[in-house]
Amino acid sequence: MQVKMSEYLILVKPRIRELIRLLDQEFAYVSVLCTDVSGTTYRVGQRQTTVADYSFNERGFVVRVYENGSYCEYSFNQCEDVNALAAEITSVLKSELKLLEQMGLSKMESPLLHEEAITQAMTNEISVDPETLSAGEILDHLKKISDAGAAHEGILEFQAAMDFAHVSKMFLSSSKDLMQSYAYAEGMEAAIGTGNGKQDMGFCTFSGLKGAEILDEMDSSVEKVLSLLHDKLYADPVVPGMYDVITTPEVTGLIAHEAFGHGVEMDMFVKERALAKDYIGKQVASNITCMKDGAASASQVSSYLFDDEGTLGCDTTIIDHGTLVTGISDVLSAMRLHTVPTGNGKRESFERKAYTRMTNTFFTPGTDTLEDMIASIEDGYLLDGMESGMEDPKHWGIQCMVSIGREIKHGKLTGKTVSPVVLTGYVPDLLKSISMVSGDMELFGSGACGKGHKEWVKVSDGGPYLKCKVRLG
Amino acid sequence: MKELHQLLKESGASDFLIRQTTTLSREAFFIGQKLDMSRAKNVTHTFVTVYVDSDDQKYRGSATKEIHPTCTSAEMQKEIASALFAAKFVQNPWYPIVSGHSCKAVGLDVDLNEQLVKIVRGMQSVSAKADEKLNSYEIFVTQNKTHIVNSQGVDVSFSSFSCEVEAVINTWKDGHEIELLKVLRFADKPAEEITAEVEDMFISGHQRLNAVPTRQNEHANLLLSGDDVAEFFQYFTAHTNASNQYMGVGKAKIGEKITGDAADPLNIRLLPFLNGSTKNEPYDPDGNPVTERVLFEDGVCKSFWGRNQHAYYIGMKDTTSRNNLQVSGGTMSESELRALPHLEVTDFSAFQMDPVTGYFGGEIRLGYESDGVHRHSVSGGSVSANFSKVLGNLRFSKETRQINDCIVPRVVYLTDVCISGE
Repeated sequence: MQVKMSEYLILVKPRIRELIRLLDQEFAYVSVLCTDVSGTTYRVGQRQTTVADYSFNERGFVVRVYENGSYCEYSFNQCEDVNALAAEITSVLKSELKLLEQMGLSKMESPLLHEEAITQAMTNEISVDPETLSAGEILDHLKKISDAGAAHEGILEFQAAMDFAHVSKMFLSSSKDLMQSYAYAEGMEAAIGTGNGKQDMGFCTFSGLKGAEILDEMDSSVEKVLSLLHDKLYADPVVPGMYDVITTPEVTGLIAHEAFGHGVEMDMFVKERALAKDYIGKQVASNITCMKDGAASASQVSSYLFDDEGTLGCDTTIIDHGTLVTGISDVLSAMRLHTVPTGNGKRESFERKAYTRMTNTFFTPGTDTLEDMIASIEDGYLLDGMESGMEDPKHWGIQCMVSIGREIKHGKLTGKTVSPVVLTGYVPDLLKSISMVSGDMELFGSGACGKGHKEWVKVSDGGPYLKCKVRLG
Repeated sequence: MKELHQLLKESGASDFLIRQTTTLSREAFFIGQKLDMSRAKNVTHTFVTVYVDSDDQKYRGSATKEIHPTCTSAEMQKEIASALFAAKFVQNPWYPIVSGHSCKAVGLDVDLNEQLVKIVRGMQSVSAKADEKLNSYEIFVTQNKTHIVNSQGVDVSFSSFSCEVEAVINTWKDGHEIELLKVLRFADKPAEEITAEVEDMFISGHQRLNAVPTRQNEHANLLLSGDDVAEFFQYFTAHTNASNQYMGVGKAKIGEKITGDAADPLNIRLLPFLNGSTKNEPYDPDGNPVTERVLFEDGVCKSFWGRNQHAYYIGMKDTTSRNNLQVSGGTMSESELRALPHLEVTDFSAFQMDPVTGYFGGEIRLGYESDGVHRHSVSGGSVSANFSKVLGNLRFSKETRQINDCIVPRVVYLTDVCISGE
């Protein structure tokens, strides 16, 4: 079915047009991003069931204006009296800026945006509209999954969760009239259990531009989650050191995202916070390594027509056969760097500032097979399951928490496991060590990505299996 | 809110709760010392929770929905009906909602522009030498005005105020440049203190430039001294949390000691109010008053804490949510602990602590190897440790310090910790 545009945004559009007309009399540039994201989270465990709004739900507006050589923004979520609202926005933004100017502050050079006229709309399709299922049907489905997992020995809790999101956004300025509406779904299964004198958790996630059909995907993964938990409980600590490893597509995505993705966010170039700025056109990875990012690069949770600044989404090649080609950027960073924006200006919500953010970030597939990759390793690990990561664009350090390492000896998996595993290293060393790339390709879009320690947005990442050399601890 | 309240009264819900928060903010973003962007915010969020009891009163379902300020009466009714329908399928054991508290408008209005200017002044006063730079910073000044009403007589209003500064600095030496990031959170801090805290980052930056790679040591003594000390002690609040206790993952047991006999006496209490903290709201999201509570006395668990629902499930007579945490000092002074051989970590790239597995650690951005007398800075490698191994002889300093909503010992000393390095 075709996802429908928010009726609310259609209804409010004339009022926002009027607001822009009024503000245009006060400011040299005015745009408004209007958001209406609705969705529901269902979570079923053995001890508790929860139904609540999806965590990224929002309905509101952010106006961006150009005043006295600077950009200023105002976030709001009521717009009944447009005249009063225009007066309040004008007063608050001008007085705040004036107050700061009176302190004698210098200001960043901010050229005036000149937008090309464009009118476009986009909606996506999903197979099963979540609205056609009752809350009872969804909770029953999740309960069966939870019960199946909890029936096993040593399981303290088995949770099954499902999120549905319907995203509608509208970007209006004197030149632009952009509308988009798309839906996506996320699923999660998590088992907490004890064994071998330890307590641990294993989990598995699901995501995509999908509807309720994602529930069917979840049915077959209970054993996988339990198996992962068992392997973690009975794992040994890893002996710290450098190892040849193979990363599963999930861990490959974590590396693409943390190791390099954050490092090519070009607002960090403006601040001189990213080493990558000095490496454009230079070799940063082995020549079999290619990496992409873009709302138009893949079909996952961060695939859209336009970003939160009204720039159309792109398909950006970041690394081409080992050479760093370009970064990704929001519109203001692109203006300051004299580059072309890539449709990566994203906000946590209408209440937050836009930054350069990743969309769908991945290494592209190669030609090797997983079997050949395992056979090529004398002493190493297959790294499986991502837990978390932290970027370091200035120093190209990498820190990734991986769920488990599956031991490989003499070209074969031994069945032994190590956990937890902290992967650390220097990004170019890691990327230049990539020696085999499988033909597989998978993207993962559950959870959220922060910038520093805040500004959470939806992204996806992934790729093929990679063989590389890393430090494990 | 009156109309919404009336609609909920007539909805047939067994109980209901409305939580409305209006947030006003002023924000300023700087690159170097130059203003990049200024922002402001005025938004209202209203969340409604409806509760539906089973006919035999054994079960209680609930569902929460946001009612947007732009909703018409018909839209509100539709959202309430949708929440009621979903709540019928949620079959949690029955529990009561909070009853009977009434309190009007606790807290004062704050001049947000004035507060913003004060912080900008503090940041503009940061003095950088030739080999130092204030790279960028972001300032958020926020006031929340909250009103909570439920069907059992709760009607409380209060306001809260918080400031956040995210600062990034650079230092360099011989063509090598490094970066450090720090987030300051506070409700009240003089401009001079803000300036001093950011200037202290330069000292750490220079130490990192002089750092050598961290040495591998599978049985190291670890000294934690950064802001991550506050996160370290969250292990103990996690295991006394009513929700974790109910889910079966909370390990603390009332009357039992959580630390070993060789450990310093662990005394932890929750405080409803702490000067300068951003977490001083007098009521939790259920409308329950936040009160003082002793969690551990000499390592022995004295009580649990948490939201109303899970507290009822585990048989607590009364409960409180958590605002601020106070961990008392240990038996040795900071200087005595520093005199022992150790690896001190002041900055992790991201300190991780998982209360379920007990694992904690992270990549070392800046640390110091010390034999008790001589010390040198180190960087790189990572710490991997587990509470199951360190609780037996956990040590921490007599001296304490405040990190926003936590008063914690200045340093924590741990033995037999695995360090991955060169």
